[in-house]
Amino acid sequence: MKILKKVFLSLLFPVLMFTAMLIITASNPKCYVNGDFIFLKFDLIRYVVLDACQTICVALAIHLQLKNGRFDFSTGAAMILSAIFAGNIGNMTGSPYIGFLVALVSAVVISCFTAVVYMNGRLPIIISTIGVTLLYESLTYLVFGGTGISVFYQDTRLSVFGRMPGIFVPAILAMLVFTFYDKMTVAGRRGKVLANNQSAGVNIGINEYHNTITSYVFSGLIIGCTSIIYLSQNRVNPQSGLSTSSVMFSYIVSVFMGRFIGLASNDVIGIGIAAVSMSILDYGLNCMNLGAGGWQQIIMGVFVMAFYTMSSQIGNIQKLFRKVTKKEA
Amino acid sequence: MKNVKRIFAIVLALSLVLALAACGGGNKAPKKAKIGVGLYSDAGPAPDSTKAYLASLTEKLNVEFVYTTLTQTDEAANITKVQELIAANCDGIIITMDMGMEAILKECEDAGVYCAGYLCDFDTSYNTNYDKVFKNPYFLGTVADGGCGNELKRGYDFWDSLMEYNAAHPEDPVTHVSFTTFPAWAFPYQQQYVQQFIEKCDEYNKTAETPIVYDPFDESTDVLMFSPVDSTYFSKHADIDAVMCICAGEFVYGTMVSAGVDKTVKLFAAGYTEGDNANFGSRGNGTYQLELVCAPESITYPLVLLLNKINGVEFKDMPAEAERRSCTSFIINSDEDMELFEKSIYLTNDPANALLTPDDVYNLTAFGNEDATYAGLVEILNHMNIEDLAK
Repeated sequence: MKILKKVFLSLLFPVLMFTAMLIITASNPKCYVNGDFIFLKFDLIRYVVLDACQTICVALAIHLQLKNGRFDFSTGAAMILSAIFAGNIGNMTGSPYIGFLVALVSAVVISCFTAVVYMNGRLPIIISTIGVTLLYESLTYLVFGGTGISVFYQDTRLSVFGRMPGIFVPAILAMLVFTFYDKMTVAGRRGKVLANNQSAGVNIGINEYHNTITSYVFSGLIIGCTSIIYLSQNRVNPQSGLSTSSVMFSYIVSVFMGRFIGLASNDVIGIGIAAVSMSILDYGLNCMNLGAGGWQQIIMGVFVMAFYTMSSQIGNIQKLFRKVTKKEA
Repeated sequence: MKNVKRIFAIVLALSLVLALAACGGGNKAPKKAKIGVGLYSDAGPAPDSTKAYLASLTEKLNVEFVYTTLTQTDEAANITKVQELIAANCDGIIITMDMGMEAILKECEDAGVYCAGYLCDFDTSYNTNYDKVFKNPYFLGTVADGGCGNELKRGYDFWDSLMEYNAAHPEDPVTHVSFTTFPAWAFPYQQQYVQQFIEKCDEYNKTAETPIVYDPFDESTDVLMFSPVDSTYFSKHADIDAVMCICAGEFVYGTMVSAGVDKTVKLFAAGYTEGDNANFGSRGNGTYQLELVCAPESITYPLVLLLNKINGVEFKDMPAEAERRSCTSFIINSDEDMELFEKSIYLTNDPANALLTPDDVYNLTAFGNEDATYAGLVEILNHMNIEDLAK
């Protein structure tokens, strides 16, 4: 019974989202082309899968560090830089698998560098990660001629990890890596202690240096999964002026929503469900020609704000609900 | 007395020769000059090949180039970039954006620095601020890619390429198309190109056995705000065989790949992005069937005008007011065209493959060739076609 309740609560959000978008798009004439209702087409599934897989990977990479009490600004820059390495080497060798491997290795190396700077610099995480973000962004202009990589996603032989069904490989790997770190490693469990009370954690004998490096190795692996998907779907341009943080922030909504939805199950499922739901919302807005520009920003902003408000006031809402039902009785 | 007369005659003759040489201005060693170039992007085939081409001219023309990147949306940022170039002691500036021109020219005037345009039709200034920009003595003119004023014809280029494609593929012709453009406030002519295409298509359909259907141009789905077409584009334009992408193809291709239509729908596009050639014509997925590209050598037009001013010489037929001139495009719509294009400086960054050598450019200047004319400089812009790459 408890499991059924968890499943119900977990699926409630995407089902509500799908139903809401179905009703809204069905009543909008823009969603009919030659009498065809375009919201309920196979494109919906394709879009949701492709978009959600990318979102899940980025959101897990952000969430892994967030769960350890660190907001890592450099996630987007690490993703872009490792994508440039992976794309160019993958293109040179003509192998998407080598590209994927390079993405994983380079992302781990980059993440470990971030960890070393943070630990040895003894700087607040926000300062140290903004610093390395600027460094990684400047490197995007130096490596491989500073032109980024555009040929990778254009080549169907190379971009298998950006399409169905290849996209499931990095997405599932990212979820497995997160779950393994979170549930099965000592570092993952100790991370929670450090996140809640860093001094207490260190005082009871947790080696923070070792713990931080370990967490960055795992988040590096997830960033590698993100890189290969991003690279297989987009042209990767060199970046500057903290522009990579906008890449990262565009996925952050799913992290916070996922944390709340995950209360009924676990973080990975929560983030997955949040990513799917937001992709459905996005697709519905696209159908109504509101997928970009000011209106999309307003709708998304209002929706996210309402969701956060609801989730933070859930206790009060429950109390009010009980009060009303008591009075009626 | 006889000798004095002879010496006097020789001195007179020498003075005459020297005076004539000074008046003519031809075959003089150019002054050392520094030119700032504000491109629209800092990387990519077009900026890279432009830089490679200019680098090949430095020695012969005694000129040094410094670069900056302008923005499409921030007027203040562009003015700052121009100020920076002036502060870097540039003698002339070439810019690719028509934003804040009045303020930019004021800066140039105060500093005694000349300015000219490249890859930009300066349409806003031309239509709304002509006197203060085109009549300003510090603005020398511009060369535009894809035509300007009455020379607009890209819509016809798209149509002709579609006809060529259908003639080459009678078994699988394109019979249903849709369009994409950038917004009119940024690229006012692109929707005019769509109308040109439609006009040709309507005319063709009157007598055609198999008419070509076009989806009506819809501003809400077909105008791209400098971001890729959205995921529902191919649902909204169901059953199309090709997209007439009047803007850059990269804004459509990514979505085609995600939607899984890159093997079935063809893309006719303006603007080349690195890697497009892998899926062009019969190669790869065969998605791209047209690319319209402006030769980087067209920067010769503003460069020569600037160098003439810097060297204090002028063409005899130099117009009184600055002009905007069109450069012919490389119309790449077959495998053979792409092979030629791949050997050009645009893709190789090798100045040996440029349409003009440093000597050619030197001879186009008024200080390098006394017979050089403005008409001659304009004429070279008509010889930057794909056929010219074969020569």
